[in-house]
Amino acid sequence: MMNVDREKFLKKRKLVDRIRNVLTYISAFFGVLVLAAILAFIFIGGLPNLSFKMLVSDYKIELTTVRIESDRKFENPDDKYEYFSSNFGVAIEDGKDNSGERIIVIEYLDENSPFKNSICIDNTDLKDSVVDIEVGSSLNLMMGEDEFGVFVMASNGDDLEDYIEALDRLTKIDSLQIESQGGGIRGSLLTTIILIITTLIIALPIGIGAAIYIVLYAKESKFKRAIVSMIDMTSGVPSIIFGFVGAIIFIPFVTKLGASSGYTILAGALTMSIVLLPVITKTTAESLLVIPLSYQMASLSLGASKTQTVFKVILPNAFPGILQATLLSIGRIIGESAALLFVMGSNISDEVSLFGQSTSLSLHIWNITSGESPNFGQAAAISIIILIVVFVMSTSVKLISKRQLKNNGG
Amino acid sequence: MVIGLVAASAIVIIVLFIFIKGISPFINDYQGSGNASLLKFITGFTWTAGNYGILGMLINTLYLTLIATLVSSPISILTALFIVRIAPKRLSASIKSVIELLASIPSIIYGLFGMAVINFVVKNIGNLFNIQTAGGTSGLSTVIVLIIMMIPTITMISITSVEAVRQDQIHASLALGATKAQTDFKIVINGAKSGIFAAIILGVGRALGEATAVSMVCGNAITGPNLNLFDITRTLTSTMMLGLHESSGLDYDIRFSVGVVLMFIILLTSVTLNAIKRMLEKK
Amino acid sequence: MENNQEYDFIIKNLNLHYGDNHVLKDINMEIKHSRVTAFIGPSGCGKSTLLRCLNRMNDLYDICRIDGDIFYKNININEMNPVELRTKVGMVFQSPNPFPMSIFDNVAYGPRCNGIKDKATLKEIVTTSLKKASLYDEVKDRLKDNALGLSGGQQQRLCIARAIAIQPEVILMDEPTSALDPIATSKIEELIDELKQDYTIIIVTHNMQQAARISDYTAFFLLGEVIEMGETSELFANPQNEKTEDYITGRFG
Repeated sequence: MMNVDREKFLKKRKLVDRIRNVLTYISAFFGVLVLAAILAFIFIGGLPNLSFKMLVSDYKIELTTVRIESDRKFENPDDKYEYFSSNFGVAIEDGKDNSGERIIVIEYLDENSPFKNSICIDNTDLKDSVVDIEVGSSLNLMMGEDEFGVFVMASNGDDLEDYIEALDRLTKIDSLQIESQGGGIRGSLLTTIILIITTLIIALPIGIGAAIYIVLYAKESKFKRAIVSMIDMTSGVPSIIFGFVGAIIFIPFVTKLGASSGYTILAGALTMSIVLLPVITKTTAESLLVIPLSYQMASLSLGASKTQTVFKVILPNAFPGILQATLLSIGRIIGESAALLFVMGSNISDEVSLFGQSTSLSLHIWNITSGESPNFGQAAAISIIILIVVFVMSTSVKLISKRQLKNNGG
Repeated sequence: MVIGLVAASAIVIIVLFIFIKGISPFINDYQGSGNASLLKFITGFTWTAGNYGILGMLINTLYLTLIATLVSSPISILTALFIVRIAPKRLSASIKSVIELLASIPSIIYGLFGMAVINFVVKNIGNLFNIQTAGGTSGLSTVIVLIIMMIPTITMISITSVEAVRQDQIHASLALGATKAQTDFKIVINGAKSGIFAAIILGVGRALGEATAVSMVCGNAITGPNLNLFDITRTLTSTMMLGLHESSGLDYDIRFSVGVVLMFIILLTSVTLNAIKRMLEKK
Repeated sequence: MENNQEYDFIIKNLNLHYGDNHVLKDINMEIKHSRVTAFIGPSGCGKSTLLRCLNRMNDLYDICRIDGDIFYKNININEMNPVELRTKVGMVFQSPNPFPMSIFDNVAYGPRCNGIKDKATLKEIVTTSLKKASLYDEVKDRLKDNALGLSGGQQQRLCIARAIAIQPEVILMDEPTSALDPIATSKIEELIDELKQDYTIIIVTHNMQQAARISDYTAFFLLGEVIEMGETSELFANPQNEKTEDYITGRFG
């Protein structure tokens, strides 16, 4: 076989083999590249916007309009502040709100500043009461007349210099908008937590019950096989279809229960329960199957009833499986968007209740990216939270099953 | 017993409910907007309020899924081969973890990544070839998002079937003077093909039903089909997701009709592909 | 050993460890060209392991450590490309393991991997190989059928045809009949008898009668050592070692 042709062929084969191997390296590297790109985008884009303040503040901006009068001058302490109003004893600086927009905030407030005696002029209960203005409050539209009767106006669209100049021309501010910081995700965060807890309360008992029934009670029959294959089938159904199910069944249901709008956290939790039931049942059933039959026998032979056996012997031993199911469910709930859109809507709300409409973190992202100018910075910041939860959940599930495997093996 | 019955009947009820809701736009009279025409629905190419035609977006959905499958399948198969057969142990474990992490990322994050990064890349690719894009929102972005979402699904299941290839087949090939790479590409892939095909079927199902991420990058064009990848497009799922303002009325209910079509398409695709799989296996 | 055309393999001081297990101990052996050599011994004695050393299949196991030398036609096999070595030293495995593809493709697999693309040549090789493996008449009308549809004995003959198709000089057979019924076994034995005119055959077998029937030389293994090796007729009629005698008379094993 050893001749010139053979030499040529061997060279060619070596080349082809190398190309094949390189192709697999490239393919595998592609996955790594995608993950790296996603993580880089989420963390680089999101970290600067992620703050504790964002987590705890409201989404909606609260506006209070006040009038302020000054009758003296103030000193800029040690000339420390670049933008200081001597008429009002206040210094301002550039700031960013929770969603990354530029705002003007109070950097310093003299202890005798008339800002501390600002009177609310909104037509609300607060009218004529003193409004608490602090360092960190943000200022927007300001209007008044200077000593010559010239109308003066400034807003947070102006430079700090222009704003402070306008401020110092006035001794009496007729109207000043004080804004609370909006763009926070407190409501969505709380909603997500309530959604997770409610879903688990609904889905875990049913899922575990179904698993116990299938593994321990159901006889080998067409019926049992039908259930098992049904469970397998539902795991292939796209989640948007579950959204439809929720919209058709659960929205009318919660409306009957007295919710004002169909879009509620409860409807979301019921829908997620349907999504997760197959997962919970399957995972629990798998962990029940590995419990040695002898445990059951031992318990039954000691005179325990089947029900007692299930609760005292079987369930505690199935705990790792149930824990896995729970962790998987939490990861799934926090990431779900399509199904929830149809039962929770996408209006971000700061008032969270089980029977009220608000958004989960994923829907919050959907909301702030679906407008004319998507807020990628904040969306990435929220994604950090979601990703960390999802990764921690899936890694724990993996670790638990590894430990289980070891325990069973040794 | 009760739980079992509920589980069994639940799916039947669900399908029935969606079906009833899905045909109601063609039967019931909606105050102010009348009802939709079934014929127009099935044969129309335009989707606007009061004018609901689904054929264009149906073709889009199948077209985009087909391209995404053609690209993601070989990448996934080679990745699975790399993890099981080619990579050194430690590298193999890390790549497997990477794939598992990719599989766990929720679609809203893929969508966000698509909107912010992939659209940007596509826009610049378009500029390179002097093609105007709608800020990168396009069929191409949709395909790319689908590809990166399909890869973990297909790879994970392919890994299982590549691992299941019998050692004696591999030994037989090596003993016949085949190189390791020849063995991997001819015997291992051939031996795992049934499992790989099943993985691809699952991946296709996922792609057809993917809603959030696709909606965020496709642009939701009014008319279709649109075979130019640099143009905006519309899929069945994006139609269901986008422009959802009311929770009643014709414009809301017609989404359920689209949902019925989607379920039907997923079922039909799965049945067809499974038939092809069986045919290939017989060979 | 110099200039020794008589021997295909010369094994010198071969030791093999699987992890901490000392599987082969100080093996020294010559294997004659164009003869049938049988390895016999109780299971776990290392005979299959030695067989796999001859075409370097043990390279596939990371935990396997080999010391000592094996020469194939006076070349140290560790200096040869294992892929090259395996085209010269074919192998048939314990249980039939045809690839899940057509009968034709099974036989054509080795030649194709070695660069033969021409259809006529391939057909020629497949036909000759199947004829040599006395399978051709049984399958000539269904070469396109899946090989897994054949019976166990036919599958094993297909595996032999597959090994022949790469035109080796030596064929290693690792208990080729252990998974087959007596009729299929006798067919394979007849086949080995025909093949020995063209090939050097080394066969591992459990079955002493089989070794006695088909081999020219026999080596008896026990606990990783070669206890005795010699002409088959001589070894069975007149064993030099007590343990050999005990084994062939059926006192253990």
